[in-house]
Amino acid sequence: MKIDFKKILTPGTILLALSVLLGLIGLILYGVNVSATGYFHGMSVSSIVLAGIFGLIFGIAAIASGLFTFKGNVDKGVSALRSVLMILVPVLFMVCLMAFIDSRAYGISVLLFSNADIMEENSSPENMASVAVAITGIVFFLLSTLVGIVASFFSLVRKEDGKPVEETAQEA
Amino acid sequence: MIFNKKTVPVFRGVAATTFSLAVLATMGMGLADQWRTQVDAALGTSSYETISSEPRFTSDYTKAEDLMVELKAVSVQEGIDGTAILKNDNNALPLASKAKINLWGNASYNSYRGMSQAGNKDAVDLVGALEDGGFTLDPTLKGIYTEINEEQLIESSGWGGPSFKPAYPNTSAPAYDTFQIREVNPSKFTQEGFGTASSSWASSLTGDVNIVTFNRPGGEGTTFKAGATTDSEGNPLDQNPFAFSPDELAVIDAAKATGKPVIVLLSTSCQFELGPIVKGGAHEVDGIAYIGLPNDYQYTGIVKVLAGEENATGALADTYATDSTSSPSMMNFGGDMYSDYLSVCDFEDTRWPGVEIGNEGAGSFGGSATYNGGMYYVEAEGIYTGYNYYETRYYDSIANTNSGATSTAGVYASDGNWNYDQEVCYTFGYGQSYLDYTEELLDVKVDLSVEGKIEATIRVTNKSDKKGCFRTELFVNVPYTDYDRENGVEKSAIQFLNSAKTKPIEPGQYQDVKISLPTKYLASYDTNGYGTYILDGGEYVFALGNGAHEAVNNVLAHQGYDVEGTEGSTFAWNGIREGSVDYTTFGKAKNGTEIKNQLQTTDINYWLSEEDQIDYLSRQDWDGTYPKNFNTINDGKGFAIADSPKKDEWLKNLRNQQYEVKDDEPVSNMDGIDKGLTWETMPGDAVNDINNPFWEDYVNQIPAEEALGAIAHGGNQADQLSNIGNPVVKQYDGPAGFNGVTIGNQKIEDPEETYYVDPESEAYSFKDNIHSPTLAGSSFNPQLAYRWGRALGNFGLWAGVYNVWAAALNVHRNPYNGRNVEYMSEDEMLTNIWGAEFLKATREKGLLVGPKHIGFNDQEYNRSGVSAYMTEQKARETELRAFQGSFEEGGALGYMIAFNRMGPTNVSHYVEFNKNIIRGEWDFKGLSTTDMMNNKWYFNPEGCALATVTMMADFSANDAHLNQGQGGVDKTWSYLSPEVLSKDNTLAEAARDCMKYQLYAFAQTAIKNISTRRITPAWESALIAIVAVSFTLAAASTAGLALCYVLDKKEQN
Repeated sequence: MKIDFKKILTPGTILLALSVLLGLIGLILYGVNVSATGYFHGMSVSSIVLAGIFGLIFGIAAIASGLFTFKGNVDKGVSALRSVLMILVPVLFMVCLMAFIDSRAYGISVLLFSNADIMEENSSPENMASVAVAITGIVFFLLSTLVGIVASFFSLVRKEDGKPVEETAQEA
Repeated sequence: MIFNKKTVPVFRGVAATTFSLAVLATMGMGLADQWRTQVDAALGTSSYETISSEPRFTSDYTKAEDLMVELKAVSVQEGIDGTAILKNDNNALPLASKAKINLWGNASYNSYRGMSQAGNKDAVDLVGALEDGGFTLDPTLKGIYTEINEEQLIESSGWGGPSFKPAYPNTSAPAYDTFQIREVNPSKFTQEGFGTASSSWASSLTGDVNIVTFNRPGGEGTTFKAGATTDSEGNPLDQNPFAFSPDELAVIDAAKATGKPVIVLLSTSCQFELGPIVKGGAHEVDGIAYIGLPNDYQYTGIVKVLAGEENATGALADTYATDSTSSPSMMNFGGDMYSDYLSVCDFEDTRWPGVEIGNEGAGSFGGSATYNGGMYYVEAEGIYTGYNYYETRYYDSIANTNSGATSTAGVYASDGNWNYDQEVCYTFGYGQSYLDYTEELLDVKVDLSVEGKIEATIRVTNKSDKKGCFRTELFVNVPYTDYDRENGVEKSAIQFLNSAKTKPIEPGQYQDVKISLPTKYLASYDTNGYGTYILDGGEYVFALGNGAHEAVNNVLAHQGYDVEGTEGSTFAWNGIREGSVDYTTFGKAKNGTEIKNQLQTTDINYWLSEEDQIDYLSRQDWDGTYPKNFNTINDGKGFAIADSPKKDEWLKNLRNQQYEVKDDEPVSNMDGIDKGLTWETMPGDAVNDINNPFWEDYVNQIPAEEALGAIAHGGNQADQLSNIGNPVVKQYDGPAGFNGVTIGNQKIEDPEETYYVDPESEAYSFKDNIHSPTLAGSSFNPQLAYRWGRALGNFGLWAGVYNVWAAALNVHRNPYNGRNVEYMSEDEMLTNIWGAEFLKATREKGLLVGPKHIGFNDQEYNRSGVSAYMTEQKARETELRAFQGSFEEGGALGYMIAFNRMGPTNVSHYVEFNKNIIRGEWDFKGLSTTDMMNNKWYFNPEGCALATVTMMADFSANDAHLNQGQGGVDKTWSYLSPEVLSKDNTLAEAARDCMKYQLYAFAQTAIKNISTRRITPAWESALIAIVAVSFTLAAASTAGLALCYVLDKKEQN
């Protein structure tokens, strides 16, 4: 197997890598949100961790698979798999996004949208920081999903002439 | 051919897009379903169609406009009835017709109006009411203050970005922190960069009279702190938040400098320290009037009184002490931690494996994992709050000189020994009348039976030359005997019973007014002796008076002491032989339930060792038992749980383990036994009879996990449950009326329908939360309570809303609880009677009103977990008595529980309190709710269910299940699940009983008029369509992608 980094220098790879990076930041923010003192301390959601990690793995795997040159049916199989992984990445980050919103909606509504006295009483710096981190995490998961969707419209692999190839065929 | 290598990105991209969209729509539907009511409210849609059957309850009004007129009229009447004139010298009041007024004080132009001002289009403020009343405001002052309102702004935080509101006065109360009194000192009117008044502004004022308004705010989550005050510039002030600041006094002085009469209006629920402005004060003014916290229309009524169009008949619902911290309750306020509070969390909680649960306080709405059982305070003053303290101590200073009443203990404003005249400015029940009148207590009949009544006849004679209405107040002095002293039964020397307002009386004429109330409220609770309510033998002296102090002087004069009393103002009753103790008449409730000690664990002495026992305040020894701060004993460390002989029980309660879920009682009926019984087919004789077999069969149809799920996730709306076809019932707040609801809420389109409201009419968008609890309190008018209840009940029928947490009936322990803005008074009977009349009226219109927050919400600071310790006598004779009338006389069908603990027990888990007293003794059969469930380690469904609490409030809906969490467990309490419940029959039965109470309550009201049918709002249809289309496209595009690979391969081949 030959490893060729130039092969994956495509808009699709950049976008997918960006999606993975945004998703990673989203996961980090989720982790901070759970571990830091504040309103959402301890409020872990296993589906976010699971979906997020798989999103990262699939994204990295999809990009990495383009580094190698395979032949014949193996190449086709890898190409097909790459497409599946590219579809799953934004889907998994969408799961992260919706699960994060679901778990934080109540707290956000209490701290930001209930009556003025309750908001004032609960607006400690820690709580407001916790809300800010949660909302920022949600935004990053949203961006990760959107970028991942856009990435899926592009190829990850470049032709030898410098143009992106489609993965269905490979020169023997 | 479209399936080739070139189209792979297209199919792949479409697949990614549509799968993502499908996930979004699917998970979004679940999320939106939980927040259905909020989504409907935001989008103006509805998920339920209400189908009305033949109505049992009908409105008194055929036109919405007439209802609106009545609602406004009641509010105006609150302003009329609630305005209390405290001082009126030099003919300051009433105001001369068409007088010119110098209107001073930032609160005259902008003020805190209470927790939920409706804000209808024609809402009236003081300026508008005065001008509507024909008065002219001095333009210079009006201009100065208007400019201040517009230019001097303060940032108000919010997610949408900063917003700005007028900086003066301060309309935000603190959360047990420093309060900044913001009042513009008149010296700043000409200050560069601040005011643009001319240097001669003071000499240009044209008013014939000066009115100055001062305001103090309050609200949910707020608590004031003694001595924690700053001025407008942020400089610390050596004073309490309710004392006048130097800036405020400067305003008064500037007004006095005009040489015209000065009238101060007090707009507040907290008691100002009035020493500087009353007679003899350094800044004495001519007139003082209490005007509460007016809502939309009360100012119109207030001005009618100030103008003399109506006689002044309001009175103070609280004692105004010279020093606002002089109440003995202030010795133990705020609270602090047990010395070993962390021992509470020093164990492995099997309900939450692996979770580190702390024991620090949390904000109102939780956050970190905590039992929040670390903080406590001891209500060591016992029954001696408000006038009960000041007047009883005054009485003893004359009649029981060995009691230490005149010691130096508890001296705040006296020179040397305790002196009533120096400690108190104005007493509870005090309020002057413009018109001269007399009262004579003609007769008092006492029916000494469990359902008996006291009926007093009072002759009110108009001695003036004008027609007018008058107020009369009935008090009683009950015997304080050797038995009481030996058994620790405390007695207030004077107790308010009830009051009345006369109809208009012509000059020189009289009216005989009847005041009645249940006899049982004469009884005292004897915890240590008979363990029930008792009536001592001896002379009961019923007395009239303009407030508690005049009444106690009338009693003293009757008893032969050398004080000035009013002839004809007392009536003695000797219906119980002296020396005896009647412990049987009121030792049983109306329904035959034996009344006995229930609340032992609220008493701190229950938990302490023999040598650590504390003394509660006793009138036997004011000096020796004057409360000390029980948070700073033991060298400032407070009580130690470890020192208790009942340590394990104490810890268990603080860990909220009132009930431990069993695993050895299989539930025989998990899935519900369907007998085809529905809401619509409820037999007529079952509607008013909870013992009818229908109810047991009906709730046995509900799957057990849904019954407990309906408790666990019950708030915001009571969901429709499987097999029983009950209507969905949304709950509303609050004490001022239905928040956010208008008369046209049902949006009925057919003009022929009963509750059709023309969308173009004013009534359509009229909001009803226009009530003022503070002015209701100072009105001393139970008939007004009834009138408001009737209006609110009618509103419910027109708006199609059926369940509201209204009638906030907690009593003011002292001025420092910011939530006092919602509660009426320091006195339990004033609150009791008001609640009874209000509830009676709302029930007549089929409205389900749940009084709140029962259980000693005496401070908002750490309300969700702080322990309030007290004697059972104090519990039963103060706050419980305040609520009791709503239940036993008013027929309440619901209630909301306070956040805090009584003793170490979360009130929502307190079986003895909720089940034994409220349901057992008071015969309550309705629904009960926690306050907002904000901390799952503090609240739990099993604790609530066993305490017969039928719902735990939250924001979400359509979640009456125990299996909506990951792995099929409860989404909040993960140790609960259908499988766990299937092994605890006690819990399952308790849950079904709760549903029975709840559904029975609904059946008593206009909710029984309706059934609800689930409809699909537009947003839900859109989401369903998106799910269907996106999954279809996702499948198609995936298939297309696969074909691209397969066909391309074949092509190659």
